[in-house]
Amino acid sequence: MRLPRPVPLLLGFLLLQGVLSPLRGDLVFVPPFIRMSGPAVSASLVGGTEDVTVSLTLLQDEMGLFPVPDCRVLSNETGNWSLTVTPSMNSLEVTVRLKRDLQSCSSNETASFSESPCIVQTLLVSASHNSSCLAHLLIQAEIYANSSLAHNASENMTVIPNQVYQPLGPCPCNLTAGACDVRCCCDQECSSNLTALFRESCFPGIFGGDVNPPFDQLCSVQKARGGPDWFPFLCVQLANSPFLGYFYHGSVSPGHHASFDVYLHTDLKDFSDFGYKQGDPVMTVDKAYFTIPQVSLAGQCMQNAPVAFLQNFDVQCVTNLEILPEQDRTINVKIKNGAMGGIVTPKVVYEEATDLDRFITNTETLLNSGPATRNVNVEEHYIFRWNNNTISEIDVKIIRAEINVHQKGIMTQRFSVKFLSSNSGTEMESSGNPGYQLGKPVRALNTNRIDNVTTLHLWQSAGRGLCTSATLKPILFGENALSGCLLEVGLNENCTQLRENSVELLDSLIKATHVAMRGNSHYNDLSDDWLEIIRADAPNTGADPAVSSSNGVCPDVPAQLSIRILFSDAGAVEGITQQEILGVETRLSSVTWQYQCGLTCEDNADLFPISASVQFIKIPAQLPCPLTRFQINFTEYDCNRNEVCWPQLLYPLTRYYQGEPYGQCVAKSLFLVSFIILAVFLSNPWTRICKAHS
Amino acid sequence: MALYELFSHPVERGYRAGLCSKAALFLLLASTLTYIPPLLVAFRSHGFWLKRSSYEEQPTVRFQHQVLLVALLGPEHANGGFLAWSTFPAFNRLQGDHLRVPLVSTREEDRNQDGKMDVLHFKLELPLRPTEHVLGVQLILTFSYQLHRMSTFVMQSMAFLQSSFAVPGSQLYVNGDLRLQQRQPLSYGGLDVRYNVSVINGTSPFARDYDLTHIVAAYQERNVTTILTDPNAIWLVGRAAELRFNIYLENVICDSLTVGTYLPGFWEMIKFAWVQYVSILLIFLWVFDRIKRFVFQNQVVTTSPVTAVPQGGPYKEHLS
Repeated sequence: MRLPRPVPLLLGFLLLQGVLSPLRGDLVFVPPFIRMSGPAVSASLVGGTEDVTVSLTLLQDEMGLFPVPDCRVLSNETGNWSLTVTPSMNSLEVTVRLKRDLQSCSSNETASFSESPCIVQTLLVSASHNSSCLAHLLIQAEIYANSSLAHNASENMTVIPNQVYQPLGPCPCNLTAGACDVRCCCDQECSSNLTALFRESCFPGIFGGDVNPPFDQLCSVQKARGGPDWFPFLCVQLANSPFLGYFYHGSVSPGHHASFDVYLHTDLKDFSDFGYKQGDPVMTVDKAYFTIPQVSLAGQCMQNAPVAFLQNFDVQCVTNLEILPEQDRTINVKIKNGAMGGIVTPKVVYEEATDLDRFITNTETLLNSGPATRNVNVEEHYIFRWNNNTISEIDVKIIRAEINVHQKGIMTQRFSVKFLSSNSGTEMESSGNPGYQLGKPVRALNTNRIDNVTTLHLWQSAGRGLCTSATLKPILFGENALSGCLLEVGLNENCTQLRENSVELLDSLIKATHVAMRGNSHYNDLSDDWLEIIRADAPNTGADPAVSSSNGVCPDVPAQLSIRILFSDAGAVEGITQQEILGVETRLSSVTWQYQCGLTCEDNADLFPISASVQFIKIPAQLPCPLTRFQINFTEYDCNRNEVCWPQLLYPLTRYYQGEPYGQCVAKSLFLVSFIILAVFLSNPWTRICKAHS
Repeated sequence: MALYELFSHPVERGYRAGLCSKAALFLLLASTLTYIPPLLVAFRSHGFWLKRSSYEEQPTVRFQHQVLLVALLGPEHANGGFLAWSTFPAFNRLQGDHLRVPLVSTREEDRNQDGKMDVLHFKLELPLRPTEHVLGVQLILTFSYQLHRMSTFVMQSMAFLQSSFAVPGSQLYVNGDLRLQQRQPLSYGGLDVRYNVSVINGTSPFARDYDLTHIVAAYQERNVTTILTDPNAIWLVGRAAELRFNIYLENVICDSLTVGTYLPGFWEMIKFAWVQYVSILLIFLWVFDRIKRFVFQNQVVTTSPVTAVPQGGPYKEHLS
């Protein structure tokens, strides 16, 4: 390594020293020339300040030439001027002050500013040593009478007006105070004559004109026109800063975007003249929607909701009796049937409601139907029969009740609409074709009544949950369910009677003898498509006559019914697996009933719960072999349980990667491979072999 | 004068053998053991392929000015007492007597002047009779939500607010964030407009299309949604008669950046895999270079050594 040459370094060092340190022993005034406009001014004398005398002379110019200064005559004061010297650290502070008052200058001036200065003089401050001049300070004094420094500073502070109402700089082009700015039309100091001269060419811009034009470095400027490539790197962001903390909340620019559309009433869509498609609203001849109350939003009832073609619904609508509309909707309504000009009129059948308590709640008394009564529709059931894309007939069943006009309370109404094909009967619709669909009822048949396909049931209790008031709900395929109800039993109940009641109730759920294997099984193919229900452990009610009266205890009361349905996958139709039932078994199990007493046994009715459950069990088509421990732990090829499974070694080329289409990945991989092949062929030893051959 | 080594260069020595000799076989084996094991080592130590990645972006969100309001009244209007209004005329026609038209005013604010809306101020004033008291509110606002940095993802999303109070209120003040929820990563490029479908079908006249359970269920089926995270819904009480029920929604759209996950593209995966592969390959190259040098120098396999001929034709080397 070579060392840097020493000679150039030394030269540089010497030069630097020469510049920095003024030649020692030489004095100099800093600054050497002052133009004075106030009553006092000061300068510094630096250098070797030992034994130095500072003096002040007033220079009178004679014929434009100043006399050569002479340091032999020294004086500290010259007329109106005085000189003071204050020693400080390494220098001397020299101050020249005007002694007399300036008030005499402004004698009769009424104008704000006099045009000529009050005092114009030239002073020379000399620093000398042993009568030889070492340094000079030249001071040119031009003092005006009304300069602010000439007057005594007043103690009153300038009042800055409230910026909210009076901005401090309302006119940007008013640059000179006390004088008229040309072309500035908002300058108040311009007389009207002057303003008239340049009125046509006022400065353009806000607030009167001549504001700063936006300069190129502003961040907001370049967005409009094309800026340099590196923009907005190092761009200048301007923000209005709050003045005196009074006001500014930030400018928010309203974007140009959409606003609320005025929601004019839209025209009703009416394509019913050309036939109804699924989802079209059913129209009346008055070109209005045919409406039935429905539930929408969060459970609220909409009174005038249109009905969609081929859309069934069954809703319960809760309304206040006071606001229930009076008129009957179905009277005299004519509905378009889908053909051009065709009309279908609903056929209405009325029934009287029996128990008003079920429909009207939340009221203290049910008033008797006195002289003033009205009819309210408790339930309305509509059946639309359709053929191709027309409605062939409409059957309506209305259950109504007569109530007092002044009856108050909450009314529960039920509305159901069903669309049936015109050539379908009243049989239960199929539960799938051919396999069972999830959620459809399980088809069952009683061989005694062979043409009536029903289903198996579970209880759906209401009110207190008593078995006497419970309704039945069908068992749906694929849904495991558990249900029950309460049986009232007295203290001295006859055990045999209790067992019989219980068995009768449980049997009412399973009134069928056969269950369909497939969803579309027809009752004609009894042997092929239907399975017999296996009843296991039918209890023997009459086996134990000894314990016939209870004393509060009854053993072996059948109380739980469990239905198990086995099903499996049986093939697929167009990729959708079809399921069929392989077997049904019902089993009754018994419990011991014991009357629950407190300290004393009163003869109140005890509640005895009985329950029923249904369980769907899937059987695999082939029984899987039990896995060995090695098979369970070996996950090298199982990508669900191992992150680094071998099939994912070339992950981008496998089907596991979904980020890009497979073809693109293959194309890019081939591109990479071509690079590698190129690299291989251009490297040793192939190049040597090529050279050897050539 | 002392001398220093100023420059040096290697001289190659070649080892020749036939293509079917033991040496060639050895070389093939060594090459295989050099280039294949780093791939296996890098793969089996997890993380070789970058399967998911995440990035940050501030989405472009615009309020679409579609509002659906349900105000639940009580206590004497216990069942079915409600008021509703929306910007869909078909919905308003369904409401009948329950329609009450409020005054809605909105303002979108761009705080940092970057052209993207940051805050939505939403104010709704619902006129009420003195006997009507609001106990619960269900409100839906729809937005258009766009992400641009990876794939161009455009969707129409909603903010669903549901709030209730035990005591009749006079004002509801909600201050929440609109957050992105992903059940599935976005793609790294291209156009993704599968959710650019309006959340509420405003042109349908049927009541079941305005059932809130259906709207929310269909919305939650999407794999990418936004939700209004609202930990603080403040109900103010004490409404004087004849005044309105006010809902103020200060919706901070995106003050913070949204982090989204995406499926990396082919080249990104290859780049990260290459880095891992090469760093292990270097070790193997060095090791097998030593092994090959040892084997060929010490003639473990039979070859004929040859000094490589430098360029410029054959000539004798002068070694000092």
